[in-house]
Amino acid sequence: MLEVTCNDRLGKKVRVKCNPDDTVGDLKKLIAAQTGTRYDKIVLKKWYTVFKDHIKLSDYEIHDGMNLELYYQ
Amino acid sequence: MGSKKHKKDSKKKKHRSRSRSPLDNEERERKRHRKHKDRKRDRSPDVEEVPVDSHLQKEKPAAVPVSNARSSSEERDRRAREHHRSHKDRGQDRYSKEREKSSESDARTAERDNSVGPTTGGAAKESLSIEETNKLRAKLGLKPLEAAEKPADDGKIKDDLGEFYHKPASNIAAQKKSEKIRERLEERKEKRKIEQKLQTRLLADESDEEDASAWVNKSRDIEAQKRQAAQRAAMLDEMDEVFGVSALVAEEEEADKRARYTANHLKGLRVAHDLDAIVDEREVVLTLADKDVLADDKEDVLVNVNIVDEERTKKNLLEAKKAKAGYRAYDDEADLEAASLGFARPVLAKYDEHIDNGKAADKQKGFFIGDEDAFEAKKFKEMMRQERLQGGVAKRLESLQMPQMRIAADYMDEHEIQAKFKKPKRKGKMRKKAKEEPIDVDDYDAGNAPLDTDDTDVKPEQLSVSIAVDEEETEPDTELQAALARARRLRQAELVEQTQFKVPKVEDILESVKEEPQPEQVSQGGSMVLDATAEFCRTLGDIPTYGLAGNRDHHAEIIDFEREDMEVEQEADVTDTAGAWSRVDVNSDKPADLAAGSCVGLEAEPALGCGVWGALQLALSKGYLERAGAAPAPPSARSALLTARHYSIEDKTYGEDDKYGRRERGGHSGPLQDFREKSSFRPNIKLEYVDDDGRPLCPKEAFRYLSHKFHGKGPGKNKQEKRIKKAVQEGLMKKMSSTDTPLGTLQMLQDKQRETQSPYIVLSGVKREANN
Repeated sequence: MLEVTCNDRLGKKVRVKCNPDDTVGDLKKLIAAQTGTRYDKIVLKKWYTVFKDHIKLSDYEIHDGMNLELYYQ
Repeated sequence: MGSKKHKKDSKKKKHRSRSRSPLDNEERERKRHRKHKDRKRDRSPDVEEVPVDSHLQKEKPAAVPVSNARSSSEERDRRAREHHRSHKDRGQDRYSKEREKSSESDARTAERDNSVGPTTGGAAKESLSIEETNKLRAKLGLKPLEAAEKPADDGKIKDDLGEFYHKPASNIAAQKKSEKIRERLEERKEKRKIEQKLQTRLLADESDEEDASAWVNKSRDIEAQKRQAAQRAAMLDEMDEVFGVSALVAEEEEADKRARYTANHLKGLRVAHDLDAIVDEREVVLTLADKDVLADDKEDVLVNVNIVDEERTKKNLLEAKKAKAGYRAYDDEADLEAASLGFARPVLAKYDEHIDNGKAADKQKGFFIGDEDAFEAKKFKEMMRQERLQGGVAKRLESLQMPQMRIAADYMDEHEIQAKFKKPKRKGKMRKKAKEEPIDVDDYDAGNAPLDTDDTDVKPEQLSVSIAVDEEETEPDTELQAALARARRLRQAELVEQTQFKVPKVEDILESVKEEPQPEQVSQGGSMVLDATAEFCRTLGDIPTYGLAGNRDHHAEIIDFEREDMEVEQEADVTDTAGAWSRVDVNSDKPADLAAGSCVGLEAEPALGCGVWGALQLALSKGYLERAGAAPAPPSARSALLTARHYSIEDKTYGEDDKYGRRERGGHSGPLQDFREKSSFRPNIKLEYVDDDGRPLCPKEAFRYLSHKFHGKGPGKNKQEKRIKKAVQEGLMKKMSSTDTPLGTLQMLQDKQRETQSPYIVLSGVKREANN
């Protein structure tokens, strides 16, 4: 289990618990559940890397306590 | 996103949901204080106040897991309570209340994060608990969260993939430390072992254990034992006496003594070493030397093994030296020479002596025991040697050891006070004697006593007496000399007396002074006297003022007018006075004297008390009176005697003149004077050098030119080319006009301007045009 922090720097910052073998899409759904935005409107980024929905967190080497950038489309 | 109003609402809601009981208030307050900083740091207020659940509830109310029946009932309760409270403290400041609420809500969120237990339903929280998340995941169709693996307690850590356990790295510091400790322990163990090995009881330690009383007891015991032994011995002796054993014993001893081998038995035995080899104070063990069984001589020889060894080494050393000298590679010539002379050198002559004389020498060496003569001889030799070393009886050995150095003291010590300087003994006594001896006081009366000065006359009888005295006495040389000198003076005076008994006394003395060889005097045996004064005067050379006063050589005049008075039988003519040749009478039996002078150098002062003549003489001699017409005296005959034979004043002046004259003239003798008629001649000298082409050369070039000529070796080709080039350039420079460039550009410019009637020219256009 790991917990990542997602922050759009506009006022929303959530911490989400998830499994390393969850896909980015799953993470987005969880975030959507916590923040109330639609999950298909969420974009997760780390610097210029846009995480794709069908790839696992472990493949992106997303670890516990990491900060992800939260954007909307 | 959230406006202010919105926020406030949510806060209120939160507050409601939070404040379960009034009892919790205090605790909550405390927490708030503690968390204050954390909150400020990692959470902006906006995020906190996002009403998460409101959205959720709006969008999919069914999906919110927290809004179960229980939580909703709680919420209701809280709302009622809140309401109640707000009623209660209505008078409170609204603003402060709000602030408190917000801070309380902060504390709550923090608390909720940590707590895993069931929390209030879909209220705003940024991080859901695991349970809540799991519920959410179930709804989303995902598998539940994996339980967080805790690091194993045994220190094993799984790698990132969770596949392998890694052995924890060993702590090097701890390892090192343990190593160190172990090492030290080892060391200590070793040390202890060695100490144990070395630990021995010392002698002093042992004795320390026994105290003084024990030692005393021990010594007493020993003494007692000794005493007992002595007693026992005495008892035994007594018993022997009683049985008559002692007599027997004594007899036996006697016999033994007689039979004993003494020095007498060894008499006549030869010892094969020198007496010197056997040191006196040492016991030397002698053994019979090995000898040939078949040898004829039966003589036994005693030797000492050590001394034999020493002798052998000495011999070997000698032989080694010999061997070194033995090899002579280039001796053939010498051999041939020897052969030609008839005696051939023996082959390997160096071994001859060794083979022949080795045994013979051995036989003669050594001494016989009991041979007293040899000992005596040795002793005597030793004594002689000692004496020689000391340098005989008179000489004694001086030690080179200096007295010990010590620091100089400011005060004299006793020895120094007592010590007195030995004054060198004066020989005054002897001299006094010499003075007294010749003048026999008894023979003269006071008036007649000779004063030993030159200006007094001496009586002949006195002279004879004094001479007699001289003959009688046998004095040391100085006295003899003095006596002789006096006698001589006296005799001369006597002679004067004899010859001129009619002239005044002063005259006498003057006569004696004069050098004029007088036959009588000659016959009487005058002598030339060299004394210190004369020598001094001689070295002075010709004194310029000498004789000016007339006191020195007036004898000429004196003699002139004296001659008439003199009644002397002169066989020879006395021709000249000073410095002249005197004729010697061959017939006379006395040797001719060339000069006579009782006192050379300084003459006696004329006596004043002899009339006017004497006074005049004195005045003259002192220089009070000047002799009229007295020519500058020629060098006196007397001093001429003393001066060098080949020396004249002329020479001296010439030499002095030479100093300047010869050197300056440099051999060309001629008058030194200027050319008067050429006094206005001022030559203007200018040195100019020209080279082969006639060009003038500067000094540097001139030097080079001359140098080349002198050495007969011209400059190199390059240099010559360079020079020519330079010369050409110079010529060009000279020809060049000073107002124009070498190409005549200025001229052209002016021409152009004149042509175009303008003060300018146009530079544009074709080159040819511009050139035109």
